[in-house]
Amino acid sequence: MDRAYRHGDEIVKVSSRLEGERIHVATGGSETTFNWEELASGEYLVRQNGVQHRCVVARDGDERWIWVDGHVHHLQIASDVRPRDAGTSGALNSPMPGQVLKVLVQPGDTVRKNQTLVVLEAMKMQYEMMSPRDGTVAAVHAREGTQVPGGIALVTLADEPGA
Amino acid sequence: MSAKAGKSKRQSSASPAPSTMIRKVLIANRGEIAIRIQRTLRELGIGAVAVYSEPDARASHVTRADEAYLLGPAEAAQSYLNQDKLIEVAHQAGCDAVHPGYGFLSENAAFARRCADAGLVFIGPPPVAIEAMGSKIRARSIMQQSGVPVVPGSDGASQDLATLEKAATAIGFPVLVKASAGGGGKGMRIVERAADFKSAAALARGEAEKAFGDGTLYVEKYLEGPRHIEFQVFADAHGHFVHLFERECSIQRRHQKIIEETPSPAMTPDLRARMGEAAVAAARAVDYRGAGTIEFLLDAHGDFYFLEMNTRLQVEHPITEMVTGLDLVRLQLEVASGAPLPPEALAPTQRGHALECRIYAEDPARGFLPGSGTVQRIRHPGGPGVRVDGALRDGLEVSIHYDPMLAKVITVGRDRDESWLRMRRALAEFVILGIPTNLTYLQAILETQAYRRGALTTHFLADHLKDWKPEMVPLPDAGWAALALHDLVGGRTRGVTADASVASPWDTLSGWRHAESNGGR
Repeated sequence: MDRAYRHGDEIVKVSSRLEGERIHVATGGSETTFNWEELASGEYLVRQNGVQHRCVVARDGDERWIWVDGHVHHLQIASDVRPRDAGTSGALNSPMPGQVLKVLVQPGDTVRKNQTLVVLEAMKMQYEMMSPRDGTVAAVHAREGTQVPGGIALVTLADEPGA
Repeated sequence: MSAKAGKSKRQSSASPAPSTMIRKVLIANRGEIAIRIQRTLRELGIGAVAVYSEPDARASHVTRADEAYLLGPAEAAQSYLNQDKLIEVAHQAGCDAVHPGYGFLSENAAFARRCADAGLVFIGPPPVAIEAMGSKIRARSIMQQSGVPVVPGSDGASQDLATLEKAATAIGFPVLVKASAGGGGKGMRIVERAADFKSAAALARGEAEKAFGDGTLYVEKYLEGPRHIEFQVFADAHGHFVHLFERECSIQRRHQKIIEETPSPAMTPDLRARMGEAAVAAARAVDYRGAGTIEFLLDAHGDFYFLEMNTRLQVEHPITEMVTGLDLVRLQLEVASGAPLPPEALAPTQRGHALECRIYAEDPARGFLPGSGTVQRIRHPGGPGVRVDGALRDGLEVSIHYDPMLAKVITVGRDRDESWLRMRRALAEFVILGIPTNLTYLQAILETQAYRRGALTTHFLADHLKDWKPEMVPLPDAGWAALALHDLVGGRTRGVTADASVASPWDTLSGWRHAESNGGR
């Protein structure tokens, strides 16, 4: 199986081959072979010459989590690569589900990078959602007092001239 | 401590509560504290009744209870704060007492009164004590009258700048100029020298007028590098007032405690005796009953000042339990049923050192945004000196409706070094997959030299972890192997069950994933 994972800012290509109680893995370079067994649902013992790692793994859609050697790693299957955040694009997205407390801009407003456009409340805390760049507000999708899911556009900025 | 135990000087205003047998308790709370209370009730053979909101129907505090009743929708006002419904459920279930836990209705005097009127024992202090401590200004004046030190400050009566400057000079610089109506740092200035006072105060007043429409100022001593040190107090209906030593809670993020410990590294026997005496005096001043906490600020010169009293069980109560061997929930029940505090509580001893880390569903890589979602897989730490108070289980939905605290890891050792070693080990052992947590942040705090030395202040995180970012740890090859294995054979071997996420789009992709896994067993 060949698969690419996003791990932090990196994309890692992994080839794996299952062969009975052994698994061969290559992350770019040469192949490494491990013995394995599944201890419980999502819990694996992965061994090589007596050195062993207990790994706990979970998945949800294209999300992957693994705990190994005392660290939790969160990865995504990179075949479904989407821009991770708005960056310099024109959308300000909700980073989590929450309630829209305040909308501070209207279509046509000129805004500066890091200017607060919307205030969200989630888990009893307030979060200021800031503009990803300088620009002009093209549309406001968030309405005060409404619940929004995570990952939807709250405010869209107009395309930059010449961009 | 026993030094201050004994009969109250004056006859207690309420006659000692007649001994009430408590047989069934409604726990008016959720999450880890509801489970914590259930456990003690079960040990004592007392019935425990859980209540829940709609999204909490499958939460651990509900699924573990013997009896559980729906309160209403997610909004706290319609569920965990719904007094009518709570009292109705308590009657319906045949409860004789209500334990409010912390948060929600725990410091609501009106609810405490309504319970009493409905013939239910409220497991907490008398309503008048809740009210007295609920108002900061009233609490401050009660403490001053009882000889408990409060942060020196002006009374705010005269408002001209010259008078305020005189007050500031009397208090001693540096001072904090605060808007009386203030909040959120607006209308607030730290003034280092008398020469700067008038201009700073004028600026603060301008800000306050603009922000709150009220330019009334107040001058208070500015404490440099204070520690947050609180004392657990207990009182019964027989005139006993004791303290169960201190807890240091200086490690705070945005005024939220995240690491607590006892004993405090700053404590000396003499200071403990003086602070403990003040804490007991504070509890006496409001004729307290049950469990309470007196919070103080301790400055760099060893002077301490009353901050506030929490008239309930604290989140961080387990560290006190670990070093005293006392079950604070059991003591609450005993006091509430009218029994005197037992000898172990009247003459408590401190053994070893205990540490608590609070695990929050927050993503330190993304500005500590709260995370919600499904807990995919949990493995709790264990072993010597490790206790976990939590409400986590596989498949649990963490919603945005309530506090993002998921669990508390408590460790105890013979000294601070040992509880630290155990905490490090326990945090590395704690597996929480599916939602972001602050585990890496807690680990980073524990690793700082300042933390190891015990050099703590309430500014600790701003001073030492201001620019901290989670470190990117590479995944070892064995980890890549396990990730691949999970997609190739996950959940198919030896009858182990599949992931909670069987219906995810990834799994319904035509089964090609399994086609490659014929080499499995």
